[in-house]
Amino acid sequence: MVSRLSQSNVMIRQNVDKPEVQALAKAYHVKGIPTTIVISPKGEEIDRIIGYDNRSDWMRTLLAYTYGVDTLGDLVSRSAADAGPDIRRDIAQKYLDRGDAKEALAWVDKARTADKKSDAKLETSLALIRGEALLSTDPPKGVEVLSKLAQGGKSDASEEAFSSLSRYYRGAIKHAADAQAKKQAESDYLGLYHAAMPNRQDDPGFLNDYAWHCAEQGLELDKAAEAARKAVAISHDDPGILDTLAEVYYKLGNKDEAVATIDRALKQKPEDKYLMGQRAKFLKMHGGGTKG
Amino acid sequence: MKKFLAALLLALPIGLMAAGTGWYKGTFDQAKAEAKAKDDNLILKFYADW
Repeated sequence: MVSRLSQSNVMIRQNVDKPEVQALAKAYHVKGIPTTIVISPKGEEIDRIIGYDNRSDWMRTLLAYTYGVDTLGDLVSRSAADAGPDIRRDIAQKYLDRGDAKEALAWVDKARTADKKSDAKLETSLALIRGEALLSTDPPKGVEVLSKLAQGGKSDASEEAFSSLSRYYRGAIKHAADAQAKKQAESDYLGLYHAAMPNRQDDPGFLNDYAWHCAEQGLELDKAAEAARKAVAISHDDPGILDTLAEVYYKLGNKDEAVATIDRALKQKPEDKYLMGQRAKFLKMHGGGTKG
Repeated sequence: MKKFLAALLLALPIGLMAAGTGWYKGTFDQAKAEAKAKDDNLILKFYADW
């Protein structure tokens, strides 16, 4: 199908792991992988697909975009006749996806002043778009809006808000002007986990992320071990979470528990090179250790 | 055989496509220029190894 599409379009793939591609990815505001962008012969972005649900959906959307259907331009034209909030929300999302925060915010406002009243689900999605756009134009306000969403119970919106804030804090840590700014960003990032924790006690993915973050940063390792043990129990020994627990034990200096835990993961995935590498790393530790 | 090869070479676009896949093998700037010259859309896919 790609071969057939290439008869009427020029199709090129770019690997973001290559250093020479990173400037291009930044210029196109690529936030997730894969991202597919349809560009007109004049070089203007028509629309983009972020992520990948399944091959047929991707192809269907791509084909629609190449014919100008459901693109940003198409929706803006249609919004003249459709005064409802949904189409305005979709336009706001498309502007946000291509990195135009100001237009995204303007269309969020238009959606909120639409003739038809929006429902709670639509309001949440508008708040999410607004929060993400504000991270570019007014970061403290964006953090405030997204933090409220992220602290809610497990939902697509709270997970997306949390991911956006995580990305924001990781960027703030990486590009901090000085040691104090870096420390502040690290503290805020950890605070984000703490604030969301009460509502995410039964979410193994969240507990795993928190424990891994702590292991990476060498922060509150005892609490991280507790969260990782809980995540392992809820997930019934998911090897991807056992690996986190093993890493936390390693950071705590507990060689015996680290090796025993990674062995539980290897039992399920005996050929996994990453897990084998982790085991070798743990075995190089001095002594046995009983902490944690 | 020579005649066939010549015809095949003429049929190839300015930028070579990866055999059978349809993905352009040149640089992004070359692909952009080719799309402009042919008045085609350019489809740019960012991906990663992981």
